[in-house]
Amino acid sequence: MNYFEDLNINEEFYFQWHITGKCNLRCSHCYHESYSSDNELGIYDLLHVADKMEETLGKWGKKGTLSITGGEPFVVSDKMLPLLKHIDALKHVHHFDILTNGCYITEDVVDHLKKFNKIRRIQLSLEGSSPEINDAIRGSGSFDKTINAIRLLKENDFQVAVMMTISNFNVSEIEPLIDLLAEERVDTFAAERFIPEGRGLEMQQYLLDKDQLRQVFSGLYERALGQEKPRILLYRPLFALLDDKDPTVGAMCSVGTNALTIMHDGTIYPCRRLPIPIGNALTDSFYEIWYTSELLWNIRKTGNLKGKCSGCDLIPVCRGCRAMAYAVSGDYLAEDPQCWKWGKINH
Amino acid sequence: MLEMGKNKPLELGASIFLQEIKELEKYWAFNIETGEHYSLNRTSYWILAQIGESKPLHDISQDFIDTFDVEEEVGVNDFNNIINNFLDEGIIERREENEERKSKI
Repeated sequence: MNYFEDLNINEEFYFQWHITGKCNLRCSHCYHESYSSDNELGIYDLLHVADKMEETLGKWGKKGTLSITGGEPFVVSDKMLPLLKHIDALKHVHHFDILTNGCYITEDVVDHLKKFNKIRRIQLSLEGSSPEINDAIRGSGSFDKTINAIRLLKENDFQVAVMMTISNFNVSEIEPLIDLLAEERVDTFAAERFIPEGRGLEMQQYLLDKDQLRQVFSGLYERALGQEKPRILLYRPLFALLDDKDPTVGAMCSVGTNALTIMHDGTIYPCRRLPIPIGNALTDSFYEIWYTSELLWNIRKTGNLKGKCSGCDLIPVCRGCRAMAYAVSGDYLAEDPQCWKWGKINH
Repeated sequence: MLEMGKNKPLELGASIFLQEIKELEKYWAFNIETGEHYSLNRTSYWILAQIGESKPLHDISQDFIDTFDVEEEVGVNDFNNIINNFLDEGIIERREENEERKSKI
């Protein structure tokens, strides 16, 4: 008998931790349905969960990576900063990121963040290269606040990432936004597909179709090849369709492979965009959830996948986005509705 | 040493969970309490699955020889070695031990 190494596909294990549901913004594409943050964990429970992560990572021999987010995590700075101090001292946590809208990034906050050794990046979101499009999605004044936060962070030598949620509403803004981020010395850029769920259901008419997505992903890949900064991250399902031999392109959906999402009340989702509870971080062990969750096993057994994902030769490097399948069809095993493979392609 | 004739049937450890992905020929035993995880071959997994169904050990041994088409002497030796290995690792337990642990939980 050997300890298995092939269920978790790499050396890292990722926790996306939404420590609060509260947020000062109401972005129209947001996956949150409610911002009430009922039963939000207090600091002692948060520390307890962090210790459970540490024990689990040690047992599995994995490097832990975390993203601390919300809601807006700086809304609960009184809890977040002590939590980060605790996480910073954990042996098996390799690094952590903070995902924020940037509205609360001040010089005082930056001074606090400088104390942490394991902070890797601060990730902010922009939906366009000007207030016009960005603020239509994220709210009036948010563009300027985010740009100010980026500048303050860069002045203090933080690594800054920007994420854009792409839909028909802002697809034309991808290139101008990357140009702007280059000027602002942003380190990395990632484009996440808009998934119609939560508040985002109200803008589901802006979901990209498969041909549009192919054009967007092709454009990003082409741009990434000649782009030093911001580095364009292509580690997402379906990018592998562009070149399944290029290891910098595409990534297996993380559900059941190397990630879990923890919500403000401890509820665990397989992924934030796949909001089906599979346990609770406070009351269940990560071992039990990871080893016994029916949902995780259903997805790991790729023979269960349906439609064009069934039997696809790219399954070892793709598997589609299970959250997108769930949001559009109600079945997380259905084909990724934006996959353009075998579909009519407009060059 | 394994004593198959004794009235102490074996069962999976209280915290052991089995799983397989047939298409990949991957088989595992997980301990959900300690976090230990074991990669198994098809034969080992088959034996554990039989034990999980509370089949008598003697019947499992005989089915093992038939299913995997091995000579009786070789098959019995292999079977006993696998069972002893599982006992050492705590993946299976003699039923009375397991019931004692369950009553403590």
